[in-house]
Amino acid sequence: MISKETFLAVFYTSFYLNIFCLLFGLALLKNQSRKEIIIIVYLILSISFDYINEHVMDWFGITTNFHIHNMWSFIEFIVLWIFYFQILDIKKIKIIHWISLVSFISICILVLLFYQSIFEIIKVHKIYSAIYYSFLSVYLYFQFLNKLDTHLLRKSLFWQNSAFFIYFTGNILMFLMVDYMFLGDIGLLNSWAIHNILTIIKAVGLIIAFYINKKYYSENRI
Amino acid sequence: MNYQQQPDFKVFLIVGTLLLLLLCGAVIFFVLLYQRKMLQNKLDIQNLQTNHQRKLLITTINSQEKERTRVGQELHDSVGAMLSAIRLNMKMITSDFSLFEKNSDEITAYLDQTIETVRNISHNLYPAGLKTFGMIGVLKEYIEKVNNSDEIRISLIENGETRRLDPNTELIIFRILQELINNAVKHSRASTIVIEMMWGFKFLSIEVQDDGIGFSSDQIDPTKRGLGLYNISNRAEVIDAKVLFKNSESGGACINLQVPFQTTDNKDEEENQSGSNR
Repeated sequence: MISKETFLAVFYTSFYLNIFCLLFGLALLKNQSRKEIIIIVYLILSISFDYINEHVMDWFGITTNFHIHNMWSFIEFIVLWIFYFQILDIKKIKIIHWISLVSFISICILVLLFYQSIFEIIKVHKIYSAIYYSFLSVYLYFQFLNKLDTHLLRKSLFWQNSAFFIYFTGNILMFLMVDYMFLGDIGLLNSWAIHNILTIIKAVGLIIAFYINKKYYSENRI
Repeated sequence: MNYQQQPDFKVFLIVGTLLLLLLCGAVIFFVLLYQRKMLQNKLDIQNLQTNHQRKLLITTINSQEKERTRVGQELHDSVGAMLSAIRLNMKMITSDFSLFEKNSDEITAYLDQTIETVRNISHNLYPAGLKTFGMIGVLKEYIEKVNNSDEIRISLIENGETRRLDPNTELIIFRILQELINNAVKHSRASTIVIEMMWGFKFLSIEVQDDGIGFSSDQIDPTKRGLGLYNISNRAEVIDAKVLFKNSESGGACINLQVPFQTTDNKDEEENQSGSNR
């Protein structure tokens, strides 16, 4: 089993890297476009929820912090939905995007009404979100191939998309791996450790995206 | 599976690392694929440009050869023939001086004709009045000549304040209009042509419309168009003009030409803008 020290080291690295990513984005706010501002909002919410998640049990004396975690997964889907809505320009995929939002909200309502309480960890909407955003990021990769205008590494969207691709696809693989290999607390701890490693990669991707967007602002305006 | 049977953390670490490497590998693979496609795309564009340049060169050579042949033929058939007649008359005079009076009038007439023909040829090569009277003056003269032939009726409508453009631009516009009129006379079976010029602040917009049979879809298609229209497009490209070939509602050909130009006013404005950008 992963040691507690390693787990905490990974967690705090991911947490502080997220804060650095947010500050970096805010420092370059003057030269950022709309999609970068959505990413900044995403980071603010992510960090806030991580912080609340850590302290909610101490503050309110509640036995679990799963409701905060579930709420964050819901908000994460919505914020990223808005982010991808700014980028998608084909009518068909926009319709799919709307359908995904309606289905997601319906799934959340159904799960809450009939299967689980918000105080238990809800996996369905997390898996749905991970599958959908993995699909969208792969779709965007194919879209890049249709528009070979500038160098790929100069596109901030490529870095953001890669960050989300690794994060969400990694999450799906993690769900599969943890479900088949580990059980109980060990599984939960290991899955959190992987999740935090994926968060670190995502933060690095987003930091590069902020930098690239500032440097090649005219090429990246949306 | 119970807790004791759970795999070692090392296995978890190895599998986790492999998965991460797999995902990063997928991104790197995509970057390489993109680079390769971009390179291929650049090569394709270069090939297209080379082909276009080659086509342009061939068209230029063809037009030059055509013009040389025409001038050569005209010199041979008219100037050459008249000079031969003059030579013959001169020979007759030298052999029998009594014929001088009779033949001198003939020689003068031949010389006048030769001078007129040479003037026409040189006029076709470069319109003499272009520098003095400008494109409009030369065009009006050309239209008058064509109208005198009674083959076709051309009218010129001018809107806005007429300006003098760069001599090279004026020559190219004149050549384009000449080619369009020639096309209409030769191929369109039109009886009237209307040339409408609209002088804007930054653009000169010209519309040439006839009442002939119009263009076929192949002629309008940029990839299939013939030498004449290709020449017009190339000439327009040289002066950054945009040309659009279409059929009018009545069925005749309609050609739109948008020529950008710089007046002293908008030149100053652009210079000011670039100065403030700097």
